[in-house]
Amino acid sequence: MRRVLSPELEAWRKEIRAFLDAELPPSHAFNVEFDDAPDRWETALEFSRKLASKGWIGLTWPVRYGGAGRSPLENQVLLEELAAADAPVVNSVGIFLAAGTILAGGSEEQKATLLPAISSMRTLWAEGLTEPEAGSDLGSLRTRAVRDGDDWVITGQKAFTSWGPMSDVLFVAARTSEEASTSGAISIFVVDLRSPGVTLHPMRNFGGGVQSTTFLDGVRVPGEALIGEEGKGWSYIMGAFYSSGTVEPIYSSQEARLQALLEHGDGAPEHGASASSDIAELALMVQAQRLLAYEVVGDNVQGRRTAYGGGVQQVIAKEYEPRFAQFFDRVLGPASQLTADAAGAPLGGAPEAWYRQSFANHAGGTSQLKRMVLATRGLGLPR
Amino acid sequence: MMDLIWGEDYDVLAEVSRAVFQRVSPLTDREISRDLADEIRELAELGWLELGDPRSAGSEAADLASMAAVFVELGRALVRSPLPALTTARDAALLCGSRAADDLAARAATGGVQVFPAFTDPAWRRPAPRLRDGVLTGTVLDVPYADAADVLLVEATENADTDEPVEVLIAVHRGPRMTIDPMPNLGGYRMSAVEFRETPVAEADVLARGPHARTALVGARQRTAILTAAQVYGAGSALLDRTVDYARERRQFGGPIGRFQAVQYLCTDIAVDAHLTSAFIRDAARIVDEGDDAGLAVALMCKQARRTAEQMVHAAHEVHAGIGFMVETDIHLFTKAAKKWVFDLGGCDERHDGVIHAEMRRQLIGARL
Repeated sequence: MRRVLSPELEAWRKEIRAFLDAELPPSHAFNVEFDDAPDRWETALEFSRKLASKGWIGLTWPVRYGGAGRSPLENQVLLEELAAADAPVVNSVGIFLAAGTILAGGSEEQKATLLPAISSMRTLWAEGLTEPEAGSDLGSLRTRAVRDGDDWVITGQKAFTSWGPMSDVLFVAARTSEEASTSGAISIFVVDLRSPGVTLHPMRNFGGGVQSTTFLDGVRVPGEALIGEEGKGWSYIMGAFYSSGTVEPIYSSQEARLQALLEHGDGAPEHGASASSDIAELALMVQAQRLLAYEVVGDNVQGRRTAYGGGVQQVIAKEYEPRFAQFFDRVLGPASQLTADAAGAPLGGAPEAWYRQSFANHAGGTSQLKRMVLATRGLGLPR
Repeated sequence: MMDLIWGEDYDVLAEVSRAVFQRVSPLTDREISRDLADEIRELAELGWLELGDPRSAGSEAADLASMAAVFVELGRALVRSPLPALTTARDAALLCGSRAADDLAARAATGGVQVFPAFTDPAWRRPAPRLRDGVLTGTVLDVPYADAADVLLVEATENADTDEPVEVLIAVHRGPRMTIDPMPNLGGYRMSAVEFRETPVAEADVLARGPHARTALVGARQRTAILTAAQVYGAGSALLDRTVDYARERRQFGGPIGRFQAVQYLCTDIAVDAHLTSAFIRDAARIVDEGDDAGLAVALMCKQARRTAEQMVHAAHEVHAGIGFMVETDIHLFTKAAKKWVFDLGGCDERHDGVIHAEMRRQLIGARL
């Protein structure tokens, strides 16, 4: 089902696969979003550092900022292979959200110091956007940053902080103006998680891991902790989300799951119309996402702008992830509810975990939010 | 890497097609009526009866990803045209690979002889006509423009020297030993049931036999499916425009209904489905144009396009509500056309699911069902 790429990109794919064959830990099952088991975390961190030493973290960033200056297509292939191999790469907040923001608006000094620290895995970032009363609606942020001499003093509460206890710094969105709008009122800061006034309270989640509630109680940060310009946080975040030139290749890990499912069923005596129907549905979901992803990446590379192709990609990616997990139940039947420690759990109990984790599909905005964005920005419907 | 875009000549063909089809669109003039001979003459003059060559992967001929532009605009204007059927017959004839078939295709390209396909759609659950000792017997349903055809390109089976039926493609000239009965249908498409009553067939009119016939039929059907899906995409785009416009204008509860999320989601359903169909079309057309095995890509495309045809009209009716059910609005025109396309694309998922399942097993684990 994979798209045929140029010989150079296919050679690049082979190089990545060879690296993964050699370096991927034998027991690498690790949910990078949530897992906090110390031994698995150490394994993931060690693997991620090997990836960094190859120069494959921040692949598209300029070389002078610790990147490799490679193309978005090469990055897409890298991300596809990492996802297909279920490779435990940590620090996605730093690699995508923080780096995207720093590249878009950071000062030269910030780019020269913060980005190499990310690409070498020296600094791990936790996410500090969401608040108890501000999820997708960032305009409702209550966390405030107030100038005090050369410093800023930040006070507020953040919710669902992924990787909080394992990280070094927090990517914080804070209100620096009384304006109600998102444009012009929100600024981005990098906050050392060991600063006085920072407290993390663990919240266990349904996916099997931990996130945190993060309290910022008069946390004093230096002036250079402000990333980019004051009040431009919203546009930086949108840029980081939408202009990276790559698309999270969920389809690639889904195809690996589909392959595992087919192998699991291989040799079974019956493959009736019902099984074919379910497999075909899974295949359609994988291929639809892959086509839309390459459309978005191709458009970015060529400098084209589709009317709303990117919006469709986001809706589909959001909506297909839980549907994909649900379809495994249809194919595997009651055994799909068995946990990994149950005798006879199909595929080592992975479908049970996928199903639970698919409910984390709200991260970065729910499917409904993406549809509203498509309707209003893409189709021009009224708000 | 091949980009996921339409063909090189797509924009040029789209511009011309839009001008041609909008002139005769029922969305512009509901009462419009055209003489079939005039239509075919115009198609010939435009060069659209010889547009693209199914045998010419990588040649100078317009590729399928460009040709699709004509059919997208055909769908956008909801024009019921003989072009899709003429193209199917032409493609099948060219893919036969015989001198007689090439000659027939060449004459059809000028509009001088009207060749329409009489292929057996499994959805009707009827066997193909049988050729025995030079005599053709059987019935084909849903034959487009059969009443106006000079020649029907018939898919049949014969038991020549083996026990297993062999597929044949035959050029059958209109004659007395066939009956053509109209099949009135929801979309108002010109289709007929054609019964061959011991119709004599000369050996020279058997254009392809066995694997050659199979290759021609599979190739023509794949290309036809892509061009049918292109019409669905075009119609979906037009329906989306109308539905979004209506959602912005229609006021209820003190404001435009388009501000309600429930209405927004119905509009985004059409946008998402239409755009997905477009992505699958571009992928399948690219694979066909490169001469690679397009079985999986076409099956996935049919599955998505068929679903789009069904769902887009449902969503548009939901947004338009009562007024959409009135014939004074155009929504029902899309609904009628969509019904035909659903069956042209396979009628149900099952038609394609087996292909997709088998291909997935072959590609992902190297096994065959």
